Formats: sequence, C-alpha cells, structure tokens
Amino acid sequence: MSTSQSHSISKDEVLRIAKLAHLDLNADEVAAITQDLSQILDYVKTLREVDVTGVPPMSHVDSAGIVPRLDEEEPSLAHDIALREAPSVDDGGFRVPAFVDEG
Amino acid sequence: MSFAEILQRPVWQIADAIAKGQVSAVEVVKASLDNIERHRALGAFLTTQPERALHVAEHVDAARARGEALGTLAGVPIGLKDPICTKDVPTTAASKILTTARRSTTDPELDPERGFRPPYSATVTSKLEQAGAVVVGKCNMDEFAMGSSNENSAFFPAKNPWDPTRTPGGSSGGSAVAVAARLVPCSLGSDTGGSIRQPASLTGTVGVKPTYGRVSRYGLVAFASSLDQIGPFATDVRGAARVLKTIAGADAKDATSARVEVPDYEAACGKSIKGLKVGVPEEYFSEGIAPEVEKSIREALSTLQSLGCELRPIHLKTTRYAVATYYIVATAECSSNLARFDGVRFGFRAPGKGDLASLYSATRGAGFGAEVKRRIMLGTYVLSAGYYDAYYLHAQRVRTLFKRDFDAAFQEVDVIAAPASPTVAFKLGEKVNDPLAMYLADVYTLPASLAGIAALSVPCKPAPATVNHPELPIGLQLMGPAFSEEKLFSAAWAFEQTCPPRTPPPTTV
Repeated sequence: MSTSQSHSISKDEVLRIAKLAHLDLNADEVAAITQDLSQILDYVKTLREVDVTGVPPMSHVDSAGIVPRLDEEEPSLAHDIALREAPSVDDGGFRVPAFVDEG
Repeated sequence: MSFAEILQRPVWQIADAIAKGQVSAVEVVKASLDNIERHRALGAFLTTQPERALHVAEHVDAARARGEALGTLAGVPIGLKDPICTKDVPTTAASKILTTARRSTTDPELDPERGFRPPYSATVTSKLEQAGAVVVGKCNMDEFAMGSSNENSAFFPAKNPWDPTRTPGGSSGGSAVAVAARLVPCSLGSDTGGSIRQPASLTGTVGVKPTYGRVSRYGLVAFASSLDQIGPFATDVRGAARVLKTIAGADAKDATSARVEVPDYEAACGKSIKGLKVGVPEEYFSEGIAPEVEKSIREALSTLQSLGCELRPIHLKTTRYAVATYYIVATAECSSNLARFDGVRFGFRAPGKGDLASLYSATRGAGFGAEVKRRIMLGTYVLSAGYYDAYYLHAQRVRTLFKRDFDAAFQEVDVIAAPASPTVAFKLGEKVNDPLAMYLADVYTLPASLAGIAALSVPCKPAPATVNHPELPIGLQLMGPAFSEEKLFSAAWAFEQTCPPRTPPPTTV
C-alpha cells in the first residue's frame, strides 16, 4: 500500500477534491469536512490489514448473468416532457451560460 | 369490521376482504389517508396523493362490481420510498436539489410538494399498479438514502412510533414508520447497506432486502448501483412475500435485473423448516452488541432450534471490515451517480457567477445536505489519482472476500441468523454529529449488501421497557444465498407463528 504516511487530509486537499466534485463549500463546511474525512480515512485504513494478494476486485454482483436488452429503436421521451422539469429552457433546449469562447 | 380496524390487518387479509366485498377499496384507502393525517407528526410521508389514490381505489371497486378478476394487491394502500419514481408525482429523494424553485432564488425550496415530477414510473410502481395496489404517498427518508436515522432528510425527520423521541432508523425510515404505525399495511424501501433491514428492526416491521438483481431498479434514483436493491416492508411475513412476488422479476429496462424465475413466495410461508441448517456467525455477537439485543436474538435462535432447525456456529471473518469496505465502495459510486444533479435538466438551480462551472458547483453546494456532501467528497477522494488503488481498488478486492466468506458458509448451512442492528432504536440527535458512529450502526447489514445475497429482518422479542425507554422492537436478520428468498420466507414465517400477535405501537392506537 502506498500513500500511507499521512493520517489525515489537509484543508488544501479538501478544496482540491471539492473542485473535482463541483461542490461549493463554505468555510465552516471545509473545516467540518476536513475533520470528518480525516476521521473516516483513519478508520478505513484498517482495511490495509487485509491481505488481498491474488484476490480479484469485485465491481458488481453477477449472480445470474447480465443480459443486455436488444439493441432496437424504441420511442423516447417527448421533447416537451424532457424539458418540463428544467430550471431554464430556451428555444427547445436546456438553457445554460455560454461555455464555448466564440471570440 | 370497522374501517379503522381494517388497517390493523395484514396485506393479504385486506386484499381478501376487498375481493370478497367485505370492505371497499375506497373505504380502505380513506382509512389509510385519515391515519396518515392523524399521525403527521411521525413524519412518515413527504407527500400524499389523495385524489390520485381515491381515483385508483374507485377503479378497483368498479372492476369488482363488474365481476372482473382483481389483482393480488387490489385496493391495498401502499407507501413508496420517495426515490421510487411515480409518473408526475413529486419525487425528491428527500433532497433540496430535486425541489424546483417557485421563484428565482439562490436557495432551494423546503417543500417536497415542489419536487421533481418524473416523466415515467419506476418498474416497481407499474407492477404494483398492475396488481391493483394504491399508492397513497411518498415516504420520508435520509437524503438520497444516505443515513441510518432518517435525520438526513432535507425536510423533517421521521419518528419512531414506539418512542417518538427515537429514530426509526434509516434510510427507509418513513417507509418503516408508515407500516409500523399502520398508516399502510405495506410499503417499499430501498436497501443499499441495510436501509430496509435496520429500520424494520427498529420499528418492529418485516423488511426484505432481496437478492441483488431480484427487483428492477428502473426508475429508482440511484445511490450506489452495485448495491441498491428495492424491497418491501409489511406488517407480517406473508404480506411482505406477496409484495415481493409482485415487484420481482427481469426487466429489459434494467440490465442488472436477473432472468431468474419468480417463485410463489407466499406459498413458501407455511412450509416446514425441520432440518434447516442455520448458521450462527460468532462475529455478529461480539463487541458493540447491546445486551438486550443479544438476549432476544439468542432466544430466537432457541426457537428456531425448537422448530427443528439445526444450529451451527460459523465464522464470517471479514465482518469487522464491512463498514470500511462499504463506505469506500458506496461513496465512490455515489460521487459518480450524483454527478447528474447539476442544475441543468431538472430540479433546483443556483446561478453561480454566470459561468457553467460555477452554476454546477453553486447548485450542488446549495442543493445537497451535509451527509451527501461528505459522501461525495469521500467518494471523489477515493477515486482520485494517487488514491484509487490504495482505497477503491483495495476495497473492491476486500469485497470479494465478503462474497467468498458467504459462499463458504453456505456450503455448510442453508441460512444465517443474526441480529439486524446492534442496538434498539437510538435517540434522535444522538449520533447526528458523529458520522462514524452512525456508520457503525450498519455493521450487521452491510456484509449481505456487499455480497449481494438475500436477507430480511423479522421482529423477535422486543426489549422490555426500562426507566429510559418503553418497550422497543428488535429484529432477527435471516440471510440466505442469492435467490434463496423462499427459504428465508419459510423460516421467518415459521418463526413468526411462535411469537405473540404483533400489536401496533401504543402511541398510534
């Protein structure tokens, strides 16, 4: 196991993770999460005692075999229904701030 | 029988009484809606749909009057955990981020009636409706099913009807309370790490976590996709069996739903369990178990023995790693699943600073509650570069060991019996500021979730009243191999017959 030298997570690391997660956190939340994550990460380190040499990872349960549906065309949501719950719509689409620099 | 009394009866008796015309579906549904109103303070439901429900009930009564064959749940009122989509009915998963702002605002609205209205129903909802069941409302829960006490609901906590100063457990707390207080005879919950079994245990109801793949999740707001499973709560074992039979089965809309025939679970209720080999895992009776829980479970084991079961001590050595393994796997999956809540296609939007990135992060910052943020952060961390192998991949390997542990145990025994929760219902507020202590409440339910096997909780002898609390329920957990639900129902039903008649909580009578 690598990265075992530190027992807690720093405030800067919390801010970096929050950015990756697209999550605005206020100062109080950053402080609380730094403390909580440190405690939880310390706890989960007990897993390092477990010898998993040669053990394959389990990403899902497959007790009966997964059978994908037939790849056939099916009706999908009507346009107006798909837009119905959107917080902002414009010209038949979801309205968002510009994110491509056209200049 | 009187209309108020009808709700004291189990699912199958209510369906039978409606089919025989002893009571109308409209009368039963009205009684249920009345009970829900009378017990609003329990916080079991986020929203109710009285008009819709009465309309469905009228259809059932009309079909009966015409002499048509009725479905197996015709006229039976049922509550659905909020993330189970019902077409056009508010669905919030108890989160602010799925409530729509009434006006332009930077804060989401605290009104579940303003919830996201799904354009389609979950497969389980459609199956229930085809069987004639009447959805009366959407049940309270921990936000996005993350929690063990229902205190993480963005709106209000659900309260345990046996002692309203205590939690009903979570995350399907509202679904459990609705059944425990006899507001409905059955409900659906979802179980990712114990979210059906733990609240069933704490409220004295029967709760089933089916085998992973037994029930389609199409239309369930996802938390951790390799673990989530929908299952029933009911006032008795046979009622839970009938509901599971109704909702189980393969579904082209969920590739993880299993092409395994659905047996008649109700017929399994009543089958002899003589000679059934019952494993008793020593690790489930170690540190952390409350003495009153251990006493009740040991008595239940003796009862199983007197019914002809053969008890065998077994070991599930990985048990102590369940909480750590689960909280890496589940949070990793949740950080990915909850990426879809971004303020663009549905729900709440905070404008941010006018650019797309800050729209996302402002929306999520204002829309998610503290526990959801904590788990997204933990999940993002364990998936991030430099930590993925050490945390996520390692936990996935340990998860394989849970599966192997159970596989080995089921070479020797048919089912495993253990507590569902290490304690009786704890006080509201008791663990809310200690996330790790809250996580440890799930230690006995997590292993079956990680392995994807079948499990249920059936009430056993309650903890007697003390100076600190009134009588409080305790649940016996039965676990079996994948697709062994019949065996679990047979054992739970036989055990249930030895218990005194289940009475509703005194506060609700």
